[in-house]
Amino acid sequence: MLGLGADRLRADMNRLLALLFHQGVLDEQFLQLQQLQDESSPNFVSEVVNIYFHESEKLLRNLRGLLMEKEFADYKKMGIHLNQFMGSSSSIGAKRVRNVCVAFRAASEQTNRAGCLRALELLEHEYCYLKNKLHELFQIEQQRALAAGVRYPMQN
Amino acid sequence: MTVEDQRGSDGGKYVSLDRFPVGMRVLAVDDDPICLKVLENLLRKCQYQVTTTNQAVKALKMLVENRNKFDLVISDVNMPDMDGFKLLELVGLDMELPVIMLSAHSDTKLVMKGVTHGACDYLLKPVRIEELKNIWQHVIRRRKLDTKDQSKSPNHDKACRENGEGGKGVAATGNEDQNVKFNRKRKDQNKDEEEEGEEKGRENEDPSTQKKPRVVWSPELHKKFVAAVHQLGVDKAFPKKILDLMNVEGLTRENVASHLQKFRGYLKKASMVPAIGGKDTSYMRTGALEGFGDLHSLAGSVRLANTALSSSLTHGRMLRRLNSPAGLTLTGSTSTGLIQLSNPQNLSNSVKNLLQQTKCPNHLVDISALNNPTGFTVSSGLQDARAAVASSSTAPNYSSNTLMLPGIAQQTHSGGALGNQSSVRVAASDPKAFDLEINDSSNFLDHNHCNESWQGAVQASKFPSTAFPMSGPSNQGQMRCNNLVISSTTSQIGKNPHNFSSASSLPTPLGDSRGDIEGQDGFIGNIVHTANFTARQRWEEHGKDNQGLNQNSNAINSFVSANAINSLNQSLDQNNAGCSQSFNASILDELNGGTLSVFQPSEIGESAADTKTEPSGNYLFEQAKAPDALQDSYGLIDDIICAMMKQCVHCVYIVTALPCVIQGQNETTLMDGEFGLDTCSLGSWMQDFTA
Repeated sequence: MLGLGADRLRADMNRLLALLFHQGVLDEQFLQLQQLQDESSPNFVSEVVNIYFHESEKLLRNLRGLLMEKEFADYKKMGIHLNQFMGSSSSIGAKRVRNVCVAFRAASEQTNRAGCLRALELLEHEYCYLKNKLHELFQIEQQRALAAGVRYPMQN
Repeated sequence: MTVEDQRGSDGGKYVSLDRFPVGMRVLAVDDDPICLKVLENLLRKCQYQVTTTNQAVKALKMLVENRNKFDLVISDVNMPDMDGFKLLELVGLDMELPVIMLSAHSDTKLVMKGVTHGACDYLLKPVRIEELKNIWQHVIRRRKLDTKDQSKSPNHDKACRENGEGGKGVAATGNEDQNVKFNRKRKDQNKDEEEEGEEKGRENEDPSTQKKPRVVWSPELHKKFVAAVHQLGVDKAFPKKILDLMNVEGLTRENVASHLQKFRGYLKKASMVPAIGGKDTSYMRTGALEGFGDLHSLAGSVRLANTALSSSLTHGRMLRRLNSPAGLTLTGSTSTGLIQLSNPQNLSNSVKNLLQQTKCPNHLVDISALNNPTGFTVSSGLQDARAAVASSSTAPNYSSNTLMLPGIAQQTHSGGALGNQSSVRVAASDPKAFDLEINDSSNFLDHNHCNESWQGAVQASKFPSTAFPMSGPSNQGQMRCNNLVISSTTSQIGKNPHNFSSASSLPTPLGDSRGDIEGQDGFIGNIVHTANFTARQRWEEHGKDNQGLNQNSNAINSFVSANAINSLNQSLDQNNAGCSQSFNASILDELNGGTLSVFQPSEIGESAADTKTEPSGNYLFEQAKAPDALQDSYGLIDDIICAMMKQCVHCVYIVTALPCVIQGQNETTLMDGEFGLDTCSLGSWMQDFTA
């Protein structure tokens, strides 16, 4: 039964992943991350993604802080944050987030504050969605690992 | 920061070759923890030994500690504690380690900057493992480069010092691998400065037992130097006296002496030009070329200009046939370039005046009417001298061709604002203008066309080189050649966008570039653009064909008739040797590829495809719309080239002149309104031409 559970969980996970890929939330880079996970770094993906969450939230806070300023004019600083956000998002395969960053950067280069605000909101939205889905993914993964883990001793 | 344990590779400088690239030692630097972690794991997956740090300062420390501990460095571009480019420079140049840049931003500007600062490669995030699997090639390449460099650079330097000599050597350089060339160029250029500095340092070490900092001849410093020389009189300019006059703290007699040694070469040439009453002026101009960043380049360009002028002037043949178009061109170019630099309006006016002085027909006026952007900043210094020279020396009878030349020169010069800024613009400009297969050559044209002061250098040799790199960025593929060019150039220029020298150095890399047509196109595009030629169009047409053309020079080649090209190449080679500037080399390289066919009739495109590295003269010829005209043009071009090729600068002019010549021959449609077209009309002009 546990074995079935593990299989079912794996199927759930795959389904979720497929959905995310289909939606464009994730791309091949995420698969590369998964491939990098092996015996020497068994939790690689979740480690990386957790760092990503941590950093991204920081960046998003900064961005919002900047844009909310009354006398906001430091587009350059915003660009730096954006750049980092874009880099990390693309490194983990967060395609949609990255695309919004691109648009955001374009608005920033044009010093279009309204455009930046819109982009920021969209960015936050996309990020939230991504985070939720990834959390879900990890939960399934954890359960699957648990289920699979429990199975081994029983096989002895 | 994690330090990977040695995985069985030898502890020596190089990883044991039999296992290479396994165990290659990579230092990864990135302030973004996510990227760093992913990169680290990717590299480990490739079986490299990875050391990571999120601080550039730490990375530098590690490298300084033991440069031999690493084979390759991968660094992010945007880092808070130190600019990635700065790190790149320090590591790539001083330590001669291959450095790969990493960035989330694929902006052409940045990529170009990376190349010019010496990056072996520029990767975009997200980095894929496939890309990382091949980075070891840079290590091998760099090693080869270093060996070659050591054996060649002294020669190169010497060659540079002797004008017109060692052209072969330079030419040979042109044939080298792009990287090699680029690296060498950069290195040579840097070595020039470095050697000076080191020599000075060494000399000073004895008395003061303290290593003095390298002396960089900034524009201001050079200006003072020139003023002092001028004041003393060239014949009486002794280092001690100059030093006293300059009254610069920290400058030693040795510094001045070596700088003077370099300068003297140019002075001599300049003094040969009879009509150059503005010898002083030109020198002054040189000094005044502050804005241009690297003085070496400037001096080079000035020298080139001077030389070109003198050559052209003294070249009877040229004078005879082309009414010294070369001279005129040169003059015109320089003037225009110079003028443009400061003020497009002035440039037009000055060109106009110049032309009028020389009794140029209205064509020139048309040219002036061209809305050439600021154009060449570099030339500006020379402009006065040139203008003076031109007017006095050039024969009054200018063929229409000749006339065109100045105009063209003007155009090309407009590209002047070579600076990274402009170049980047060029590259970044919308490919629309170019719309060629060739990737972003159009950008170039477009760019020139645009607000940038950089008109794109029709003056291929001079300008295009600079322009070239610019256009490169837009196209990664192009970038290579462009980048190379830029790298070499920028090394000299430093950050000054208007550094002429960069332009000069550009050509060389271009020539060497792997033959990315795109890069070439960019380069060529500039050239064309500058000239306000519909070269852009041409390129489009030839885009495909041009692809066949290997080097940038190809682009140029199509432009120049085979004969011209050949002679051009030869002269370039010689010139390159003579010119201390990489510019010569670049031009030479360019020319080596073929003719400076900036200006190509549509037909050329086809032939271009055929002629890979052959001077496109022949093919250019075939291409030429007006065969007859071209024939004549070629002859003229030949003359011009012969005469002009003494200096790299000539190349520029020649290139610019060529279209004129060709146009002149073809007259009619070509000339009318065509030449006077501003960049906007370029397209239509092209259409006319190619129709």
